[in-house]
Amino acid sequence: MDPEPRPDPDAERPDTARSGRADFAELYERAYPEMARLAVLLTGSRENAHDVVQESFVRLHRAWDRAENPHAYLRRIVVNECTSYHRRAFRQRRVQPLLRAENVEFAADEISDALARLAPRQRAAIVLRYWHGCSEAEIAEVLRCRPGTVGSLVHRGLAELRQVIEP
Amino acid sequence: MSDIEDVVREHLAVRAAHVDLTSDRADLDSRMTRSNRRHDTVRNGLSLGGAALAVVLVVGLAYFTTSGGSPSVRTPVQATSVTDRNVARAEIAGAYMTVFQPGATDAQRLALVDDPRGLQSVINALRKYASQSALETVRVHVDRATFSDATHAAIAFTITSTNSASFAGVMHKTGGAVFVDGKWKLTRASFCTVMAEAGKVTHDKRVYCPDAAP
Repeated sequence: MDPEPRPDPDAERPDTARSGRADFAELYERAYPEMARLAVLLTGSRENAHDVVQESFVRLHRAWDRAENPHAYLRRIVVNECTSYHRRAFRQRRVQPLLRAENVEFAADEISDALARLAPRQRAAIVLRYWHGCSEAEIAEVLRCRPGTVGSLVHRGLAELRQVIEP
Repeated sequence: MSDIEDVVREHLAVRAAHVDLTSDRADLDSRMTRSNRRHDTVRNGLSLGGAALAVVLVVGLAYFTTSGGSPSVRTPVQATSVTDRNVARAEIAGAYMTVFQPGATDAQRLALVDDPRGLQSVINALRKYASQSALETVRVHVDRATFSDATHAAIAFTITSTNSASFAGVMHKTGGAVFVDGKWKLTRASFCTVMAEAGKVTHDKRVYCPDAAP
């Protein structure tokens, strides 16, 4: 299957699209597929991804009047929600180890397996960089860290993936 | 560009292309409604707590801001009606606290008691027959205010004291508050209830309000 071209929502998003219920509804319909894919790649689960994206839109709606760039803000929320999801899952596994076979659906191949084993921020950096096509500065804004830290996250993440892909 | 980067990029693109999730506006609306409800609940709780905290801060500030030796005592903010019950409750709590606040002058105490005629002598008697510090060691905390109308409230309050000459410990009492002269005041009976407890003295005398003597 041909890889899907990377999403470029900012190109079609009007900068002024930040007020009014109609604008929010429009953004929801337009950005949902992209955010769903991002969330699936970050959580490894379709079911949890839908939950994450819906809750992210709820949070965006609450901050709608304050969001300078709703789409970028939404992307940050989704990534943060995914990181929170992994934290909760980690805690749950510690308390209920028998339930560790959560809804991870991407364990079918070694690359997906290796991606799932990366630390949440490493995985987010990799996905944003190589699927979303974000620059280091954009990733740094999403992850609230310095661009140099992003470089380190990506570098180490790739190193771990390389051990699986190129043993 | 390294091979590993190409492999990862292609892998992610293929995976993303398989995602067939669809938006669900009805589900989103339902989540937003629930979120708004939770948000309102939290906001209401915070505003209630904030009002109470503000009153406590004002009382504390007034107490610690001394001018010329005598500590200043907070005068309750006027409440226009009982409809703003949260504000009224906070003012009543402030009045009870102020009347039995260490360092308050007698005039400041009695200014917050409805119908204070003859009560100065009760305070004097307390100082004379009970421990000198009886009035300074008693504390009163309002637990509940129930409004019967726009200007009257039934009060449940707790008296605590560290003065072993009268009593040491905690006592739960009921009293009242009344809105007069633009502010909430303790009812005379409430004041006398506290004074009677604080005035349980050693020796053979007890302190009572004139109209509450046994």
